[in-house]
Amino acid sequence: MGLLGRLTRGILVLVLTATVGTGCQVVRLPVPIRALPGEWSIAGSNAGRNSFSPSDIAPPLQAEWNYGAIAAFGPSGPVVVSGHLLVGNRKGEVHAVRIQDGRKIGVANFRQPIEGNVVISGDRMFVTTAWGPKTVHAYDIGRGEKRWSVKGGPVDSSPVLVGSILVVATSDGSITGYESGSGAVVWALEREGAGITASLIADASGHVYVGDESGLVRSIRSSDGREAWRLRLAAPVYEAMTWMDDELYVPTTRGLLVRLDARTGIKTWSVDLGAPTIRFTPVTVAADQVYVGTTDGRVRAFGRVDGARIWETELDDGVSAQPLVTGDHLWVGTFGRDLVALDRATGARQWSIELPGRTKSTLTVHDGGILVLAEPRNVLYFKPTGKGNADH
Amino acid sequence: MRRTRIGLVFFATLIAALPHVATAQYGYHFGRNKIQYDDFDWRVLKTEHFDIYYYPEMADLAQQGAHFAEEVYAELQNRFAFALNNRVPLIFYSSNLHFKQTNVTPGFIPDGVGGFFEFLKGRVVIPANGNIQRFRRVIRHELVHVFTYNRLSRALRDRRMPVDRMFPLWFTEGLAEYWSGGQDHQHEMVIRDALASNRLVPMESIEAISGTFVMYKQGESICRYIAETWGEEKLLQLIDSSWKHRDFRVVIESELGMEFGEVAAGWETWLRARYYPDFDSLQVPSLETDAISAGGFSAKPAFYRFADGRRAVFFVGNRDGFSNLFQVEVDSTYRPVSRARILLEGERNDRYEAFHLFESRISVSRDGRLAFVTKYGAQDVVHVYDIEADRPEAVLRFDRLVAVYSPSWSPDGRRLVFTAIDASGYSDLFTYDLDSAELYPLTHDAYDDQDPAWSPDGRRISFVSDRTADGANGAYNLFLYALDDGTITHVTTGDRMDFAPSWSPDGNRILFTSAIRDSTGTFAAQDLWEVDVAGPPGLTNTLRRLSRFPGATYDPVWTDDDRAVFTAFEGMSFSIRSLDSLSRRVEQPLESRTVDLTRVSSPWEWPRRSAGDGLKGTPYTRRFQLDLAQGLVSQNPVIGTTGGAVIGFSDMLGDDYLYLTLFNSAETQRELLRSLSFQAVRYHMGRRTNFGYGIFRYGGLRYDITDPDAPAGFPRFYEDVYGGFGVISHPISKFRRVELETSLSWSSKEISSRNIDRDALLLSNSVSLVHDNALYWYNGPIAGWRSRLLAAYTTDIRYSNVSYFSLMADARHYLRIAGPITLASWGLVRMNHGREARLWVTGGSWDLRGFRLFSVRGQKMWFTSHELRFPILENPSVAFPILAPFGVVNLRGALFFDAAHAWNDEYDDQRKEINSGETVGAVGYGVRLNLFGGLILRWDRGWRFRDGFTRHDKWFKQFFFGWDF
Repeated sequence: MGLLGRLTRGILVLVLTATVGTGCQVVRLPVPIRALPGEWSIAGSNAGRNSFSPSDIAPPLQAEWNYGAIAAFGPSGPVVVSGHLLVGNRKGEVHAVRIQDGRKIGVANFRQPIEGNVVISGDRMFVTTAWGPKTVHAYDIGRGEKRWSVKGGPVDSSPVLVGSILVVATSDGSITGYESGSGAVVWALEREGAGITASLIADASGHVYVGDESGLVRSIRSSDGREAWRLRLAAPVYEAMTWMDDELYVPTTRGLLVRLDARTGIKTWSVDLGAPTIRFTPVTVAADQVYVGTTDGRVRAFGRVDGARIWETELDDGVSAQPLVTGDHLWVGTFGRDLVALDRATGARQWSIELPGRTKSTLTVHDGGILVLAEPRNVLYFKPTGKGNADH
Repeated sequence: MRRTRIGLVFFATLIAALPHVATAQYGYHFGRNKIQYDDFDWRVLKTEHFDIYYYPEMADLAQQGAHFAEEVYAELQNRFAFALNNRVPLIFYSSNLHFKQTNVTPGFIPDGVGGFFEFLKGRVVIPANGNIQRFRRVIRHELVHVFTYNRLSRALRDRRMPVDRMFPLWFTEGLAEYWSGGQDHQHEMVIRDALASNRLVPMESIEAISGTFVMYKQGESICRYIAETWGEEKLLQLIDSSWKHRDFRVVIESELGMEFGEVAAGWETWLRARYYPDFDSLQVPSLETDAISAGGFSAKPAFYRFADGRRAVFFVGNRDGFSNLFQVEVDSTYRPVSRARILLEGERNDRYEAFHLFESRISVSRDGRLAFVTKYGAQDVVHVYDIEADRPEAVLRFDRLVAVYSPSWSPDGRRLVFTAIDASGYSDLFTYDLDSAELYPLTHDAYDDQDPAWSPDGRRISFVSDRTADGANGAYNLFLYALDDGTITHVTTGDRMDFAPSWSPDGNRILFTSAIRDSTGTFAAQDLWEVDVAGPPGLTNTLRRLSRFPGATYDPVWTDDDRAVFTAFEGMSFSIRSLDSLSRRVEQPLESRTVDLTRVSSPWEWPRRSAGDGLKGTPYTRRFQLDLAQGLVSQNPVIGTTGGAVIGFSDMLGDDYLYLTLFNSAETQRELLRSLSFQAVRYHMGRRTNFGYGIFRYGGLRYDITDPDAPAGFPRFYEDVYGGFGVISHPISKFRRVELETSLSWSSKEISSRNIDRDALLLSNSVSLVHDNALYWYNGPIAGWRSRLLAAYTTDIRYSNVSYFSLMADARHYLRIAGPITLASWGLVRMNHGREARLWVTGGSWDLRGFRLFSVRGQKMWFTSHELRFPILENPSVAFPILAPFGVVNLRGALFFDAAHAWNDEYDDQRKEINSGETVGAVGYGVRLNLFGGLILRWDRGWRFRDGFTRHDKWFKQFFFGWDF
């Protein structure tokens, strides 16, 4: 082989290596893109993030596949659209995975850590990053190309889309409504001193609820940014609140859980554990109960109406991820690398399985299975084995 | 320390492709000895999250420590919102003296170190040393480090970033202190004094005090400020956001939402608002009292009136880097009449290895005998020194006691009472009868009993202890022990830190120090207080405050002149001072407080994790775990490209080491096996006598300027050497050791240019005596001396090709002329004599300056160097903060004189190519720039001389780096 031949072969090898090694550096899903029935196109099920599914997914489960997403994840869960999972990681990539078989469809790189979940609206994906000169991005997942990016400020929380307004809160405390089509600022609220880490939620009437690190909870009209009410709690809010039927559940980091009337901001009940270092997970609401985990490894069920404690179960390790309800079962991921199933009625431990790492992100339901994000970079899809309940 | 050095010597040997044939030609080292006096029978207790390493004598403490660790884990899991995925090894020692023997870290552990967290294996090492509350707090402190490190690692790894950054020390230690519990009385002491004396180090330049106790406390204060202003959660946010920038200031700005300068200013304003309102009523020690010794560190005073009426104050102190016992004569107003003289030199010999400056009081009997404690070998001993005769009288060693503190004489001078800790780790009171040599325990429990003081009538002993309900919060109260019936009665109660009782000469009153915690949990300053104990115990006692200083007072002594001699902490230094008119001050106290003695509740008792919890201690089994795996590639202009790898293993306690090294210097594929070198070495460090052994093979091209057969100009040749070796190092004391080395190897040498093809079975044995009590500072030793004497014999036991002996004497002395000015002197004599005797080498910026590296060679050699070292700039970043990012620690100057003479057969037989047969040398000056405390850039300029300094050869300039000799 002559010099030219060797050179040509070398170039081909280089090109192939580059292609195979880097994979598809865009996210492009088959069109039309739309949320199919039962798909959680918003992390936590809906804009209220109540993490409830009527599907009766029962243990035991087994892993259908395990996808390696290069880096770890923030506290929000993945979203699902058109049978595909979309999840941002802390390396700044959004991975698209076909849920049917766990195959990678594509990766879009935003170069800075993504802490919140991505937001999907039709073929538009909105991504926020925690650092960098531009932190709010719109991406066309039908074409696999970026639409617009704006400065925004560092974003640790998940944004929420209400109508055509994308509401984004930053870790330095500002809140901005962007026109989702163009990225133009529709309204902006100046920062009030405390940062915002907790994911935003919205209700059916177009109000967005924001809790900040000083304990200030606000209801903001998404159309114009006008504040409906505000209430300052005695403890910071670092985790996502939950909205359900005009009830607003606010977890704090100092052993305090509060339920507010979402229309007025009036406190209706609260639970104080008397332990100022204990942090609550986001609350899961199902039927007449609410479920919540804590960093001391306990999961508790409270009455939705009066906050009365119904049961309490102690796990082996702490919990920071929002629990998930499917039918009669409550699913909890722990710091101790466990996925645990509890009986929703009694809190009795039914089943557990060891994961590759800690689970810190909200669980997601899809097609009778559960999507779990686990350290260090695992996306796992579990489905029931169909062998009935097992007491492991 | 030796472990690392021995390891490095071997690594360096192999990597530089030098077989272990000729003993100790290069790279020998000095250094003090870290001695494993005790052969601990280690056991392991497994709890839910921890592996507790302990020895049977301290099983009870280990069980309490296990409880504390799990208790803290549960709390930190919440604070960090995080769980550890690996079990944490906790290695407990019962006392500081046992702790000092640990091999987990190679460094020496000074007094005052409460424990440490080691990153390599994630080990936490903590001594108890008699104080359970302190033990508990240190466990908390170190576990905060463990969680912080793991959370930081997770934050970086989550984002696929290397774990290549750490927080500044002020934050790491400040957070650990802050989350270890409330601010203790020492925190208040430091912060109050810093504010009162205007010595608070701003956040912008806090690196200037990195590693100091003040930095710990200022760091704690900053963390408290952040938590109170932005919420506790912000501290965790700072850890989680560490990925954002290497500069922690940027992370702070990002998370707190303001400029770093604003945060720094806010902290100082916050401090002033907290402390300044109290400052109006404060006294200033340097104005209110008279200084007896105000230079350097001075503490633990004792007073004596000589038979001829002269007065003297004795104290321990550190004025020049070494701790000593001092004596200073004072007049009737307690003003010094002369400079304090060193009564006994400490830290330079075995007998006075350490004085425990912060921990142990000293005492003078009525007949003029001084009792004090030093570390002497494995344990503490009590020394008795005859003041009138000015000579040591006795050394009292107690086999069953490990640590001893604060001896106090009985009025008849026949007995001593002191605090001591045995192998169990609990601190109790003991008396010792000097006549009968009987040791008698006064207390025997888990409580920490300290600072005993014998009453003038001989019937009672006052002491402080945490044997109260408030003791569970760390409080110490004052007690009386009745010697006739053994009863213990309260003198004070409550959440206070009472220490250092001293009886009035008439035995009716006790002077002591106390810091009182208020309802907010904040301690007031540690001041002088007095209590009347003349009558029978009542329902209350009235305590009278005699001082109101911003910092702290320590160890008062009530003299027969109605004065108190005490230690004052002011302006970040400790001085000995006297306070006059004690009777008047008692009658007109600054404050009176009544303590209710009826509110004495049951003392604390901590739970334990024991067999009852299903736990069982199992014998420790040594297992090697990977420490180091490193590939090495180097480009050498003589040998070419070389490559290799080093893998190191050690056990959990650091007692057993295994190093495997593979190395190849082949230039062609065919030489691959011929140029393959390897070494397998094992070291045992767990006993007093350390030993190591190994096998090696060196093969390939070699550049050896010491080989007498090699061409002098370009000594490169092939040699194949394989064999085994053994080393034994036996420390005689901390400062002296004997080293034995032996090696047996087969050597096959080819020197083509000289047509030499020589085989030999080489046996080499050596013995060395090493001494080192030098005091090291930033750029090298500044005081003390060190030496090495070596004798060796190397022979070819099969062909007799090689047969020579080696002698060497190397001595270096450091004379501290004044403060930072040192005259360093170095004398060296070396001789190799016999067949194929190797050459000694010198030359280069580390010894004979002005000459190329190792360009002066000979089988015999003498060398001397003298260097006057002086400061030009010390810690300039304090005055010029702009220098702080460049890490400039100091700039020092030097004037030097070097001389050497190397020869082979005849002293004056000159060989120009190796500069032998003539006395050569250099005279010049230079500067040394210390960057980041470890990188020292050296620049020298001088005149080079030859022929016995009769001929000025040339000017030279040299630039290099490295410590002063």
